Amino acid sequence: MESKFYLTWEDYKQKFPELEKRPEEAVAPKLQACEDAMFNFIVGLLM
Amino acid sequence: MNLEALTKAVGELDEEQVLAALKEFVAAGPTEEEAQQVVAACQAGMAIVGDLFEQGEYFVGDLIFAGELLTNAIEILKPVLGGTSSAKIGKIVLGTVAGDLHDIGKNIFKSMAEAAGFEVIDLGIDTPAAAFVEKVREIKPEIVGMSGVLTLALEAMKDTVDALKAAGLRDSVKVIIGGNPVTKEACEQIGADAFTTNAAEGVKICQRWVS
Amino acid sequence: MTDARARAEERTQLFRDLLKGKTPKRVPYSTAPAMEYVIQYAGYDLEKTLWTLKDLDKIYDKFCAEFLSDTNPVGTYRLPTFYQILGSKAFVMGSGGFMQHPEVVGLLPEEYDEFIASPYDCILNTILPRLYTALDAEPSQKALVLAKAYRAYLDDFGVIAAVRNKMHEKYGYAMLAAGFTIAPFDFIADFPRSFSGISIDIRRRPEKVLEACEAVTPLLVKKGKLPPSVEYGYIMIPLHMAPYMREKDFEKFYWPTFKKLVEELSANGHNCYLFIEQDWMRYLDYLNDLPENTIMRFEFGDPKLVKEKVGKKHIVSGLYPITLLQTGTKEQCVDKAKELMDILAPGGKYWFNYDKSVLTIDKEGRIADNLKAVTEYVYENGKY
Ligand code: B12
Repeated sequence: MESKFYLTWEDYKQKFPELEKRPEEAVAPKLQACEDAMFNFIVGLLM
Repeated sequence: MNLEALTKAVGELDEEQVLAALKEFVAAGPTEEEAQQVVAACQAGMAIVGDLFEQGEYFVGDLIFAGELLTNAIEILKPVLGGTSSAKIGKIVLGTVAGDLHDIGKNIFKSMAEAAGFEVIDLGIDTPAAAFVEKVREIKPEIVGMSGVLTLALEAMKDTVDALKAAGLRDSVKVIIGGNPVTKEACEQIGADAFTTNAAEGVKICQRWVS
Repeated sequence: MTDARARAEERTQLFRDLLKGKTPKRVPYSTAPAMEYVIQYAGYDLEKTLWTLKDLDKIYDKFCAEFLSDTNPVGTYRLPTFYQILGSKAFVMGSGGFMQHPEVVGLLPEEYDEFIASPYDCILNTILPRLYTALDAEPSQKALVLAKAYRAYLDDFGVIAAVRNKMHEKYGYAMLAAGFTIAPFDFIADFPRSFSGISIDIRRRPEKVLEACEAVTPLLVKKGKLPPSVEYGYIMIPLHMAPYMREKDFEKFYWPTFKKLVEELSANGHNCYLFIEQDWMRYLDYLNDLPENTIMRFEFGDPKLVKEKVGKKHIVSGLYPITLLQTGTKEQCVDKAKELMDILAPGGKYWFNYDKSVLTIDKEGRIADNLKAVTEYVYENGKY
């Protein structure tokens, strides 16, 4: 999805280079879940 | 001006063709009488739209567009309707009644009534009885038009008529109601003078009242 | 295993079979009342309860004890608090406490290009501040409003989930995950452009409408997707605009992106559950084209035609008019259930449900009595 408001794991790493050192399999899904929860809330406001 | 072609284009909802024809017509500096004939041709086109709707060729979305098209057409014709537009044939205070927010049908009736020469004072949607009373007192229209599509709108229509009675204004106006749920029985119960689920018919009834 | 557990297992099995296209042991049944009705049925104040959600467990317990259903009756879409914090114009509480949606326009006709370039950015930058007035604010204020609203949303739906779970523990309902999304054309119509606006757009700027539908489709697929870990579940998609369009327009504007949405969600392994509002009889051939075992709950229509045209490939549901519960005698209500079951149940692929939810309670209590009679009939006569 083309949007500056929705961040993927790649976007996060770019924004916060120190994340490279963190355990991706633990951090990435956690961040992704928050991104998706907010996405669903926002889009849900128009449903 | 080819009036038949215009009627047909309105019936087909061919906006481009209708607006181009009208612009050309206005640019040629027509007489008021000619302009009136053009309005009549547009109305005849709307009648076709109504028929096609009844036959299941057109649907609600097409009615909305038809209303929009007619409003724009009248807008273009306004300058050449000149004299007649100041000599309105009557005033209608119109609104969607309290609790109801639907206005598609009301707007269609409004544009058709305006095209027929009425001055329409539109109170919008969710209009409390008191707002109708106040406007009627201020404007002294010949006609009050109420619209509603929710079942609960019928109650609000009755409340509005009762409020007009209480204000001593009921006998000075004719009341017409419209919208899908209105029926003869509802009309009697509400105490309106006429009802319709067809805007074109509503306009005819209003014309009879003021002639 | 407790009774409730055993019941839940039995009911879940019905839906496992149904969703895979197998004939279940008996016709699965869902009850009609929406939360608004249930609150009034328990004698609570509707408006206050929608705000506080106080005693919601007691409220549903009364209902669940009296009315059978295979699916969990606890649930709602709209609660007032977070809409209030956001200053919503799109959803407002009407007199009496019912949530209503007036016609609103979140996107102006000249803004289509902005939407097409990035629907999500446009939603956040342009559409939401118009429809949710509290978001029309300076950045920090906006961020806080959103945080507060999200907090209220999580609180309230947390309560709903807890009550849902409590009823499940006690009464044993089928365990089904549910997602929610909207058809692309409906999405553009509902809040960005409005019923009237879109009806004009398809004639004045058809290309823009088509591009907007295409652009928003991936977002709506994403919104609807259930996690792959979910084994049994459905994605609810209520359908709005099609009955108000000509077939020609439907075919061009509505169908292609809608079909894509259903196909992508189905390919992900879950059934779509179409809530088919109004009368779609003229579109049955289109519907039959969708991926196998799509659930189709109809509001109006001819049950025979439905069974014949889509009932072999898909799961049909709905068509029981709730107005009959309000106006009919017990006998008429049961006769109607029999008529529908006789036509729709043979061969499986049928889920008994009503044409829509019952919102308001009637003074005489006729709805409740009739509902009980219909429920009893379906449970007694639904065995395959
Ligand atoms: C479009 C629509 C909407 C749009 C409204 C957009 C708008 N600006 O009006 C939106 C999506 C916003 C909407 C919202 C809601 N809607 Co709605 N809506 C409809 C729909 C699809 C079409 C109504 C319509 O415009 N018809 C077309 C017009 C042209 O017809 P008409 O009004 O009868 O007008 C004609 C004549 O009657 C006459 N006429 C009309 N007025 C007047 C006045 C005078 C004086 C005269 C002479 C003639 C006249 O002229 C017109 C042309 O001939 C109907 C379903 C349907 N198929 O009817 C549901 C429907 C009316 N809605 C319904 C409901 C419940 C709602 C909501 C309450 C839903 C909700 N929970 O939020 C809200 C409304 C909130 C409220 N308090 O009003 C129900 C009503 C149920 C009932 N019996 O009460 C319906 C029937 C849908 C359904 N089956 O459940 N809705």
